[in-house]
Amino acid sequence: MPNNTDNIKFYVIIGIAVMLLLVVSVLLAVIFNQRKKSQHRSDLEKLREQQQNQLIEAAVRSEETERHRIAEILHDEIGAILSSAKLHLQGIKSEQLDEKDHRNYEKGKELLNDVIQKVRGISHNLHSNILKEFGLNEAIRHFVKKITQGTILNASTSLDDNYVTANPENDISIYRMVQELINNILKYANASEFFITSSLVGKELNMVIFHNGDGLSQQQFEELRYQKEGLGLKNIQNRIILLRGSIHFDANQEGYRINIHVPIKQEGNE
Amino acid sequence: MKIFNLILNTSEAWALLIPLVYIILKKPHSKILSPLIIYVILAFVFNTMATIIWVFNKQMPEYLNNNNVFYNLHSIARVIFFSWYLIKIADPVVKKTARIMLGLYLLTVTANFIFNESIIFLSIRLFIAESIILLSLYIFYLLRSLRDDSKTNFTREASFLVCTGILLYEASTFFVWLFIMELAVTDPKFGLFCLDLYKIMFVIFCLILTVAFHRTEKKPASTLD
Repeated sequence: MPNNTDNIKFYVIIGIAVMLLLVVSVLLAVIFNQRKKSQHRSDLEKLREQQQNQLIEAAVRSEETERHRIAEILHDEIGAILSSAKLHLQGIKSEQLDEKDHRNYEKGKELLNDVIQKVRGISHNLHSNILKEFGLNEAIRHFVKKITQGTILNASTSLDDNYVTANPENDISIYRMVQELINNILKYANASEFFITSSLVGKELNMVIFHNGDGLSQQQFEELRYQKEGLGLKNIQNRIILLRGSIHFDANQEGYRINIHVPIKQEGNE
Repeated sequence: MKIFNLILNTSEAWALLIPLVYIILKKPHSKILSPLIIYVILAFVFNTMATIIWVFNKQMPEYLNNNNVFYNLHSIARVIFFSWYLIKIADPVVKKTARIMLGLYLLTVTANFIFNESIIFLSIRLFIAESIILLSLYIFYLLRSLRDDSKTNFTREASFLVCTGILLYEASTFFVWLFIMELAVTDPKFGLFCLDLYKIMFVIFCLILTVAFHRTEKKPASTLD
């Protein structure tokens, strides 16, 4: 009898243990399986994001390479030919020309000077040597001065000189964004004044472009960047993604503000 | 010790108050939960009746001296409503299996109580059948979920908690019911210990059920059925 009692006790204990082990095994299998799936999904998401960033980077880099190439051709070839043409024209003895020919000569010289200036301007816009040699702040100051020369636009800059170039590629992207945004303000906003300020806070560069014209709201920016006509805004969006930064459009009673935040990374660091 | 024994012996009734109070206070809206809510209410009624009869056994008239019918009814309710819950949440294969097993179970139970046993007396076969059916169905459901890539956060969902609760409860009580009659004769002390284990597992089961209700309510309305 005691043996029978012990047997039944044994069966009950072992039975409960086996059943609980079975159930716990199934539950653990489900938990680990879900974790594995979740990890796989997260890895896929990261790969997708990485691929998208690589595509954007390739697009931006190839754009800069092409700009550089065109700038070089304009400066070295077209500019040289135009300068040579100007020299040849200056070789003509204009005092020996009659009145009509003299007028044509002066007009030709004026047009030639004009086109040389424009080619030089386009070449500098496409590839700024000031950015390369003097850094982002100087390039922005020079750009603002050049673009507002001869206009009634009131523009000023207040840039944090604590910012030094950590990554020249990033500087190019920030400069291009500022160029695009300012060009848009001039083209569409009907502003009479704009200011650019920057401040380096920790490892983040914060830039604010303020203007008193008709600007974009954040919602309008998000809609336009996906439209065919919004190529410039799309470029800005791509550059922001590349820089792992953020851009925000907002407005108050005084005017419109564009806030750009860019984390500063050393070259080679991710 | 006496108080502890009293708490444990009446736990079948008060344990169900935990999910019941949650249902009354929070009034869960999800249609998925309806089988479980009905189960909690019915189970509370059955267990309270059983406990009252047990507590006031000596004062009860002869025809109310036996509370076993309520345990039988509770077991049947558990199978019906947890199978129904599974039918609501599972994929078509598990749904079909649950419907077939539930149908067979009801036929078998009805035949058993008409031709074989009386529902007035505690039916150990009923409890064993309950354990077999619910263990099989819920393990089948979990194994199917392993293959389902659409389940993104399954372990965070209420259904996983319900599975955990019912599986732990049934796994720990199956062998108790299988040998309870023998234990009552050969080793009553160990038999009582096993019944205490069953009561503790029932309290844990009710707690898990309450957390599952809460988790269902936390989910956004658009993802609820």
